[in-house]
Amino acid sequence: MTTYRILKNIITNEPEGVVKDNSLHIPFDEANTDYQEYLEWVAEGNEPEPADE
Amino acid sequence: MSLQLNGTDGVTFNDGSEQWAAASPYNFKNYLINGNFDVWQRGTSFSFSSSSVYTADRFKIGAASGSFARQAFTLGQTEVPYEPSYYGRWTISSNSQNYEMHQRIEDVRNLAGQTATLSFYARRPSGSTTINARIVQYFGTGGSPSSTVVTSLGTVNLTTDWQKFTFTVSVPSISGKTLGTNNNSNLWVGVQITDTNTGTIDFAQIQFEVGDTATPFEYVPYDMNLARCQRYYYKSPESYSYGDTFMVYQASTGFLFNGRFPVTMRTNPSVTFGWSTKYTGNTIYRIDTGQVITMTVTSLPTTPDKVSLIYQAGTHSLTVGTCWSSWITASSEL
Repeated sequence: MTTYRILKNIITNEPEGVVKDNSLHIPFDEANTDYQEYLEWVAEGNEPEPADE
Repeated sequence: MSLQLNGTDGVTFNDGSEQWAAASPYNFKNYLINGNFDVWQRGTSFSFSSSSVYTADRFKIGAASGSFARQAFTLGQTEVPYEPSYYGRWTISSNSQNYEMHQRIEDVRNLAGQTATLSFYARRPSGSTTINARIVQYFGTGGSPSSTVVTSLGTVNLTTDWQKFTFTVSVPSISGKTLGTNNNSNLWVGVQITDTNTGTIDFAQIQFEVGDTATPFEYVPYDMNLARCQRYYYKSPESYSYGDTFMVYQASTGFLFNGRFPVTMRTNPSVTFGWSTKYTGNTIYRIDTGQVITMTVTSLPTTPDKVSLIYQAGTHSLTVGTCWSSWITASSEL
């Protein structure tokens, strides 16, 4: 099952991207097709894991 | 009155040189990148199961089950001209309709409202799979983009011998259409399976160009071809024995990461990295001692040019100033 975990910007502490299956690091960039795929996954009712601290 | 040259052996100039076709008024006349199957950054053989994957650079291919692999031409063969090095072999082991081999040309504005010609060499050494050529105008995501426009180019009548196939198409105008707001529109050029038969199909020298004529295939030097591919995908060469993208441990959880991409990418790319298993697994290698650690990444900001910082959860009792390495991939494919 696909998992996503939030990445946070180290300076602003704001979400900056997600990690898919603990391997693919995806930036929050709307032109990135992996990010578009993540948005579709969220739209299906899924939720990402919170960021590691 | 225009002058017509109807000779069959080209035109011979005063210096003895021959020209066989009109000089193209267009640089980079082939809108497809890597149409000669010269660049294979991801590997040279791929299998798929009810999915489509990127294979030779820029080409995405699928089937219910099957594979796509690089094959070498025999030196001196004459069926496909200009001595290409490679062709691609698409094996469809089991199938449902609509799987496709295609390439997405960045920006749906390209060739809109113009006449264009798709040409390629193909053969079907085994089986009976049938395919149809088509283009798809995709207006992107975000906001309220127009619906996708599909234009069929026709059936590719394959035989066991190499043949050159040519399809001329009036690419629909995009007047009155609306682009999505995410800068990811594209013009998709491909061949789609139209039955449930299995088979093997070979492709070489794929070209999509302006006009109603298939001109000779455009040769692009390997270095330029690679750079054009790397706008969309980069993979550290495995020949780098100490990996790529050197990192210096700079603080309790952070690495200064010198991951500069050779070409500015289309957008902020998705990134993987690894040492123990190259390219994946989030492992990195300490160059002076050989220590390997696995990181749980908490921050990995990218730009289209580089990855410059990486942060991890927890600590590994590392020494500030030590140098580490890994192999990476970066993707900003459409």
